[in-house]
Amino acid sequence: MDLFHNVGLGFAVALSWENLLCCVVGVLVGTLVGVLPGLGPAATISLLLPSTYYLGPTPAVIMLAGVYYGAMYGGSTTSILINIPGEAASVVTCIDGYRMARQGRAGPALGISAFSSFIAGTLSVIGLCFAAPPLAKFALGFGPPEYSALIFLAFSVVANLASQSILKGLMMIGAGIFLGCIGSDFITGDLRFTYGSITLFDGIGIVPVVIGLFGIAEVLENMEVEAGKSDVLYAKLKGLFPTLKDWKESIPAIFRGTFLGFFLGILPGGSPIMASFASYALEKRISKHPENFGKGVIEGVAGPEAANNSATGGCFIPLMTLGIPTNVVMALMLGALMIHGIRPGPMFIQEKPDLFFGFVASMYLGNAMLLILNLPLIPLWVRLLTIPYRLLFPLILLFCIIGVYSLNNNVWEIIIMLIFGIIGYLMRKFKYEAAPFVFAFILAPLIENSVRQSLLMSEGRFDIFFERPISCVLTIAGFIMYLLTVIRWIKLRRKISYEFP
Amino acid sequence: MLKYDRIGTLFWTGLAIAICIESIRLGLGSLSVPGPGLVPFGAGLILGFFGIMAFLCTFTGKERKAGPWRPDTQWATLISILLSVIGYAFLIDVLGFFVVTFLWIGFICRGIGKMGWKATILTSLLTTVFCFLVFEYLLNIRFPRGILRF
Repeated sequence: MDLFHNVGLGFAVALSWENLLCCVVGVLVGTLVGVLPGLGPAATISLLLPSTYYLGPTPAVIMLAGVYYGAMYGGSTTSILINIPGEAASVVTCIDGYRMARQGRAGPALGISAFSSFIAGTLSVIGLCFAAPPLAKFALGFGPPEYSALIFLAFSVVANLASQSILKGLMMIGAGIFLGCIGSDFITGDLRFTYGSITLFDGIGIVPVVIGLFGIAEVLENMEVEAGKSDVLYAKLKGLFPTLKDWKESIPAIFRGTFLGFFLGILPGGSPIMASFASYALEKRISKHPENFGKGVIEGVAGPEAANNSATGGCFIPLMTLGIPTNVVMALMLGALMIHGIRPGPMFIQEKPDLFFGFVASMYLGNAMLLILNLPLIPLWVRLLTIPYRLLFPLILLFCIIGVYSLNNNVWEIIIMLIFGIIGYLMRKFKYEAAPFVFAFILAPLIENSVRQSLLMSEGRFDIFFERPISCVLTIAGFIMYLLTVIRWIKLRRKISYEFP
Repeated sequence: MLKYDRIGTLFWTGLAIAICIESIRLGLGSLSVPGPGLVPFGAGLILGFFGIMAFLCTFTGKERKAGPWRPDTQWATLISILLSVIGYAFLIDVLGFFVVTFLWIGFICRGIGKMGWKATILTSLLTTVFCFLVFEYLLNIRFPRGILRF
């Protein structure tokens, strides 16, 4: 009864004109960045973070979440039409989606991608609505040792999932924690690593760091070479509605992708990227004709598209109930909430039901908007692909600068953004991942707080992490994950001879 | 690539040593009463330990041909972008948002985007006016007016 009351409250909040407008803006911007290669959801969310400063927390979260799941929708368009994924979670869609387009079936590929995204998005929102409150109640028993253990486990998963190099992923976690420690100490008030700079007294801001690492670095990477002409399929799109046969082949894949994506989204380190790859692998494994995968089968589009959209809903569960982001976009969402003085955790749903359920309801509305708006807008998105990047990048750069400057009217924050832009660019070049770095940077205050409080509580004994049941389970799971990481690293070292893993 | 990795890992290891030294200066405290330097020291240890491991790994791996830089990298463009943003940052308080944004967009369009003069002036003016209206009036952000009070 309470849940239904809250869902009603959520829809009342989501249907207010301000929130509805933010939802529309979010999903449209999200689709746009999903369509345009070279600007992912993480970069866009970081660009939009400062503008949310002037909104309330509810419309801010609604808009940023809209960008995230909108990008999942839009990313498939470029994958299918030009074989270039608009964002990383749509890489898999290229395999069969582009093949379908070459066979003259771009319409059904785009159509099934939109419908499977809608079905999966809607089911994951329902899952989020039902799964988050019980998990939040369970998390009420969390104290500093449990949080320390949970972050210990989360880092082990993040390091294990580093796609470039496990060692570099672990190094970035160390660097991120250090960066998050800059500024005044929360217990003693001592200034750390500030060297007299007033800008650093309160620590390095999240916004300049993430805009630099994602926005500026993205621009620098895209501008390093002269852009070539894109190979857009200009053939007139027809038959966006899949046939009955297409539906028959796609429906099981959509449901499998939805459930798989949702559960992978909940796991620390889980992301829509991982979900789409896992779904494709699953579909291929259980298919009666696995040899057809890669030649333009519709299940190869429906499953991964459902999985990546479903994962976006799943990702919000640990964030909203435990305050722990599972991937870099969730870390940015946490940053957005922290800008508004809100720290999600076990009490979040009880204390802010309007925000949580308003946000959930907006996701449902946003999914419906995406389906209604996007199918007729596909030709427009295709036209946008012809805009040269040299016309887009000044605007992106200007929004980066204004976004950072407008926070505190401090020019030094622009310089910090620029420094992290150069660092982010070099990290891309030398194959260091920004995700574990940002993940650790945003979680650093929570890590420091919980570890130091745990040690104070136990008078310096580390067995506090094994004395309490939840903390004990999480710590042991963390150790197992680190052990698996070491085993994986040794295996990779044997397999990859040209580089270190 | 391994040569670049060697330099990169040495840089991170050097940074880790600096972090650890500074953390000790801040005070590690004891395990029962942790000091302000304890967690940064731990972060430095993580960075340093894995940095050294990664450095050692560069001696056992086989060199891959492809380096991090593409041969056609437009260094002049990248440096111009970075310098222009630094210039923007230091001039915004002096010249004011409107003037510096107009000049900056003009430089980017003409200098980097290789646009014609008419297109440059039009793009700069429209972008500046659009941003001014959106941020100043819609989002209530107060931009500096500068010495020209504009």
